[in-house]
Amino acid sequence: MNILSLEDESVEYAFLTMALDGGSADDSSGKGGSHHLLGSTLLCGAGDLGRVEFQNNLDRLGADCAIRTGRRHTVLEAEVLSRNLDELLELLTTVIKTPRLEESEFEKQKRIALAELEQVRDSDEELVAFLHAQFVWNGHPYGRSFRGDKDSISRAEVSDLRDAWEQIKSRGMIVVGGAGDVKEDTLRGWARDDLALPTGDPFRISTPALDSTNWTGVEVLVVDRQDRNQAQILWGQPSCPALHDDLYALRVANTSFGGTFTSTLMQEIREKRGWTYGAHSSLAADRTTGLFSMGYHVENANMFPSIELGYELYRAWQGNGLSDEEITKAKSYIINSFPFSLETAQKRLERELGSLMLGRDKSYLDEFTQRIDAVTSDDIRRALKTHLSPERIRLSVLGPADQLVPQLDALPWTGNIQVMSYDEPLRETLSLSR
Amino acid sequence: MGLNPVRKDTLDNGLVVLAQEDFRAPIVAYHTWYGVGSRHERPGRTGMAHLFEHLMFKETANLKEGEFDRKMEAVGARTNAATWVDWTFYYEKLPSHAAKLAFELEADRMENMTLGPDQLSSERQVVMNERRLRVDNDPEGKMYEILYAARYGRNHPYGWPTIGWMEDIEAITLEDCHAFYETYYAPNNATVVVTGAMKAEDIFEMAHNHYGHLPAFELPEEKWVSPHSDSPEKVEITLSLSSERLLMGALSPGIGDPDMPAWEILNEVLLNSESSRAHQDLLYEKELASGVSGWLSGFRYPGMLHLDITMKPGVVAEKALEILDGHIRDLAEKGPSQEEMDRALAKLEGDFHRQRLSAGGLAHALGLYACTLGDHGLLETVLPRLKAVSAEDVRQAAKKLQDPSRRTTLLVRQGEEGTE
Repeated sequence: MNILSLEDESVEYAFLTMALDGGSADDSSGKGGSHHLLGSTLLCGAGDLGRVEFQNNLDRLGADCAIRTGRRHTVLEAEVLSRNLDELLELLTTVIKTPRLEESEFEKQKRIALAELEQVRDSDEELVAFLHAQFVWNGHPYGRSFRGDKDSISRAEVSDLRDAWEQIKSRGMIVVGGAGDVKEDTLRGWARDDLALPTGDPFRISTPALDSTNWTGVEVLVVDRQDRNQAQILWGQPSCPALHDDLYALRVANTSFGGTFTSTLMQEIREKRGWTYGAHSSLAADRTTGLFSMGYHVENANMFPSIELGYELYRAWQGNGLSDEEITKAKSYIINSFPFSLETAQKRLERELGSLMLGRDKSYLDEFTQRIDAVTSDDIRRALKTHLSPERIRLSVLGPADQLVPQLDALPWTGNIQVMSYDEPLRETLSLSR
Repeated sequence: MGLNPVRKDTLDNGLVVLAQEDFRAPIVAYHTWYGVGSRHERPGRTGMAHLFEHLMFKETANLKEGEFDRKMEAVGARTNAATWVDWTFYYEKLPSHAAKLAFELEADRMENMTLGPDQLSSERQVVMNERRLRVDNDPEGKMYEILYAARYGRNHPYGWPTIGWMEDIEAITLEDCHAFYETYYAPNNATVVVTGAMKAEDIFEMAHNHYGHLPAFELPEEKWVSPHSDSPEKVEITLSLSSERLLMGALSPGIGDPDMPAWEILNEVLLNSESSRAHQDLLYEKELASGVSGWLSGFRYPGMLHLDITMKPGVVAEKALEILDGHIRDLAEKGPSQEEMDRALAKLEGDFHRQRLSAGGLAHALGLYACTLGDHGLLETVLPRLKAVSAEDVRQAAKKLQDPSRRTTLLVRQGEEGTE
C-alpha cells in the first residue's frame, strides 16, 4: 500500500486521507447514486457504535470526517486534534473494517439525497453547472451524475451498498496519506496492522476519451428561467488529458486567457464593459481526457452580446495563441505562485495524492516549474489547435429562452439549440429533445 | 511545537504593524486591515465601503489603472479584498523574495489614490452585477438581507447590507468616494499584518520606510446606535425554492464580549455540530430537514446567532421552529451535560487550530482581532475563555435565546417571490 507522509509538528492538528479502489463508475445500471449513498451511510455507525454514538465520538475528539465519492475512487478524509489521533485511527478502523450500513440509516440517507437533489435548483450557479457537465459529456461516462436521480436512488437497496463495500475492500486501499502532526511510522503501522487491506489499483477503471470530432457547430443548451434578471453562461469542451505534455502549454495559455485578474476574459468582460463580477476559464484533467471551461454571469440585457464577445475572444485566443509578452507574464505568474500550492503539509499531501492517483511521474512536482518555463510560443499554438476547437465547444445558458434563442439561431456558428425548463426533474444523464 | 510569537510595532502616525515569523514555506501573507466597514456608512449611501474596496484596485498617482494587478501577478502574487460591517481588508500572498512589492503598493494606495468618473462608472456596474449574483438572484442572499433589515431596521448600520441597496450603489458620487478615502484610509485607522518567511526586524523596517511619512488623520468619533426595539418576531416571505427554509436571527454578544464564548458553545450544543441536539433531531430522528447549521456573526457590537434550517420538500418551517424551541427551552432549564460541553469545546478547539494553519489564516485571525477590538492579543485568549465556560454560562445564554424580544424568525415559503 502506498503511504504518503508530510509531517509538520509545528501544528497541533493532523490530516488523514485514504483512497480506495471503487467509485460511482461501479454503480450498477439503474442504480446510479449507490456509491454516493455508500459514502454517507458509512459515517452512520461502525462496530459497536450506532450513528449517535459515532458522531458523539467524532465530535469529542475534535474531529471531522467526510467521504468523497469520485468516479474511480472513494476517498475518506479526516482531521483531528493531534492529541486524539490514536482514538481517531481506532474509529476509522471500525468504519473501514466493520461499518454497520444499517437499513434504517440507509433509508434516511436516501431521503436526504433525494431532498438534496431537488435543492440543486435553488442555486442558479449550481443548477447550470450540474446540467452543463451533463451536456458537455453527453453520451460519455462523465455525463452520468454521481448523485443518480430520483428513480435510481429509490431503487437502491442496502444490500447493494454492502456488496459494493465488500468489493471495494477486496480490491484494496490505494493510498494512506497523513499530514501535520502525524508520524510516518504511525501511518505505516496502522495501514499494515490495523487495516491490513490489499493494495488497490488506481487505474482499474479506464475512462475512454470523448470523441468530439463529429461535433459541428456550437451546440447550445438553454435552461429557461424567466424570473431572474441575471443569466449564467458556461462554455466547455473536452480537452487535454493529465499526462499529455501539451498540458503545460495549455496551462500557460489558460492563465493568460482567463486565469487571473488581468486575463483577457476579466479585462474584456468585467473591466472594460462592467458586464460581470467575474469571468474565468479553467482546465481540468483526468488520465484519459480533460475539460476546458469558461464562464461568467451577466444581466439579461447583456446576455447575447456577452455570448458573442465570449466566443470571439475564445476563437481569437484559440486561433492566434499568445504574444511573447503574454507568454512571459503568464509563465512568471505560474512559476512564482507555485509555492502556494505546497504552502502547508496538507496542501503538499493533496498535490502528491493527486499526482499518484493520476499516475504522474514522481518527478512531476519537482520539474513542474522547469516544464512551464520551457513552454514556447509554438508549443502553445500547437496545443491550442490540437486540443481545442471553436467548432466543438458547447454552451449552456440559464436565462430567458424566448429572448435568447432567436438571437442565437441567427448566428452562423451555432449548431443545435436545445431548451429545457429550469424546473424539469434532474436525471442521471441528460435527456433532451429539440 | 507551536507558532512563533507575534511582534508589534506602532509607527508615530498610529499605523499598527504585526509580524509573525513562519519559515515553513517561502511565502509571505500581507494583510492591510482598515477600521471602516458598512456600519460607517450613512443611509442613502450604503455600499460605499464595499464599492470603495473595488476602486482601491484602480489608479494611483504613481500607477496607471491595471498596474497594481500586473505588478502583483508578475511576481506570482494572489491578491483580493473583503468588506464587512466593521472592517475592510486587502490581502496579498507572495513569494517571500517579493514581499517588498506589497509594502510599496499598499503604502502607495493608502496615500495616492486617484479616481475618475470612468473608473467609478465601470466599477459601479461590476458591483451591481455582484449584487445581482449574490442577492437578487440568490434566495439565500435575499433571506439574510431581509433578516438583517428586519432585526436591526433598514436604516441601522448593521441592518443595511454591506453590498448596499441597489438604489444607493447607483447614487454614490465621485465626491462621496473622495470624502470616504480622505476620512478613513489613514495610517491611524489601519493595521498591517505580515506573516510568513520574513524576519520581524525587516518587516518593521520596511513598514517605517514606506508608511512612516504618512500623516495621521482626525478620525470620526466612534458611534453605535442600539438596534430598534420593535423588530418583528416573525417575518414570512415567499421565494422560488424547492423547499421551505427557517432562518432565525437572535441578538448575540459582540466578538469581544465576555459572554461570547458561552454563545459559541451553545451554538455547537444546540445545532451546529454533527452530534448537536437539533442536528440529530431534525436530520435523522424526525427527518424534517436536509440541512442544519448555526453561526455567530462575530461583529464588534451585538450581532446575531443564526439558526439556519433547510426543510425537506413538503415540510413546513414551523415544525423545525417547534423542535428548536423545545431544545432551547430544555437547555435554558437544565443546561448542557458535561459530555456536550466537552464535545463542543473539542470542536471549537479544532476550528481554532485549523484556521491558523496557513500564513494567510494566521494573518486573517490577527487582523480581525486587531482591527475589530484593537488588540490582536485577544486571539490568544480565545481558547482559555472557551475552556472557562461553565454549563451554567451556557444555560444563561440559552435563556437569552428564549427571549422573543431578541429574536426574529424568517419563515420562507415556496412560490412566486415577494414579501407578505
